Amino acid sequence: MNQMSLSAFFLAMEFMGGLSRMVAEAFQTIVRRPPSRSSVMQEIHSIGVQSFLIVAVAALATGLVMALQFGFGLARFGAKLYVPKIVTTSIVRELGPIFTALMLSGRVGAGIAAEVGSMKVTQQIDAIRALGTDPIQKIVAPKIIACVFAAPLLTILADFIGIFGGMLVASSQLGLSNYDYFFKAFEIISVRDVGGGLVKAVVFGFIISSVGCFVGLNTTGGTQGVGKSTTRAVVISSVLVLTSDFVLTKLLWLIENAIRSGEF
Amino acid sequence: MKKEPLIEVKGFTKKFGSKIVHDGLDFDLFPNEVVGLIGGSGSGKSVFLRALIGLEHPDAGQIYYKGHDVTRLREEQWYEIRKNVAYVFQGGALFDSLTVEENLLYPLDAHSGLSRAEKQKRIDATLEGFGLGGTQQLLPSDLSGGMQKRVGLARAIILDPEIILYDEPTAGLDPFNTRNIQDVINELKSRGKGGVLVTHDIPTVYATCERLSLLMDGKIEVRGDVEKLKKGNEMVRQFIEGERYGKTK
Repeated sequence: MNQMSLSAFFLAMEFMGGLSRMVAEAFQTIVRRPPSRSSVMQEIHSIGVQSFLIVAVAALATGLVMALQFGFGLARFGAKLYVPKIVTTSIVRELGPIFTALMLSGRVGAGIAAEVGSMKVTQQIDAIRALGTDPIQKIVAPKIIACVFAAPLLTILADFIGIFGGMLVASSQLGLSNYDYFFKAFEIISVRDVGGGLVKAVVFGFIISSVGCFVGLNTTGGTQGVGKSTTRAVVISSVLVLTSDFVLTKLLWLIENAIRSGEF
Repeated sequence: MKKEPLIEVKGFTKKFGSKIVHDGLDFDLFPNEVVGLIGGSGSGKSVFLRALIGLEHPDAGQIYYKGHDVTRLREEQWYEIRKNVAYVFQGGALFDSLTVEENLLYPLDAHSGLSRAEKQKRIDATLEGFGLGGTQQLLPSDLSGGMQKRVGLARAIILDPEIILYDEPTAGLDPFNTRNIQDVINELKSRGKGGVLVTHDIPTVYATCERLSLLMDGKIEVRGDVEKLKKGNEMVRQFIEGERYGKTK
């Protein structure tokens, strides 16, 4: 391993170590001194409600494109009747959670890093400490709780909108009736599919908020530093979302197989 | 009987990497006095002030608060002390998404146990005392620099602390606002509060401080009564007059 990749490895380890420490502190704080309900509700509004439109647009586009691609592809084999099942399964198991998370990473992760980073460079975080209060309790914990709640709710909405987008294409371009589409779509979906997608959404919400807060709290270098932190938060949380998605998918398959074979 | 110091520092040492910023500083602060801390830019005055409230931690040495060693306290143990030791930030450090009233409400909500009406009464009275009546619903961005500093000072003292740490409270202010801040510091002192004033503003040191420490090359080179140092100390004179040659360079 050359010198550069070694130092990148140590930087990554340092980042993960710091992030883990902040997350552990946040968990302790949530248990011992939970943040006020009003601060959590305020964050849910800012993170969840205000992200709805962007998530809805992404989900609709995903549903439209998926139905088009699979529709024309499967039509060649006379299998376009499978479009509702394929589109719905893909959206609920994978694309709903992942696209919602990537949208949240861009909007919420960047917003959190910029907000907390600005507070850091203008000494507002120091002021919170100097006034005898805890920045983890006042700033970090409400954002993590809100994001962990909002991400699965947004994912459920994204799932519905994505399936609806698929239906629009199926009825207008592929000649399937709306009834057939919905019947076939919901015929295939199981509680495990929905549950698996929501578990992913919870983990993604947690990653996005904690990375945003951690990067924000470690901002240095004035307004330029805030800009850099914002970019870092989006890049790091997107990469972590995508890599953890693979791990979670594998884990969920293992659990599902164990349930099917009666091991659980 | 000798008075017990509010704050006592022994052998304070702080390094950033290989650079030694403070090398064994001794310092004390008694009730009813303000101690001025002057020194060149980058000499570590603000770092030292931050350490007095646990925002920085020394690499060696001890900090005592009313006789108790607080050097190695955990973050949550500092919360109790910070109710009694206020810090006035150079730029005010007001919460920019909160109104002036909400900024003052923040420490009261966290520590006071007062009713909402009592809190409101205290906020109004404090703002009135600082000549800031009528600014309750304004955001910090709607205020001038001088007003922001005064709101920062009002927020710092609203819990009636015993000690106030001032980090360049008059930097960038016009003479009128500087005078206002000096009056506030003297008024707080007359109410028995101790204070540490980090500043480059020598007239404010003369107007408010009983004792003065000159921080240079990581050490407190000169310390003593302001009146005596003003008249006869060569290093202090050189520093104040910005002389290029001599002991201060």
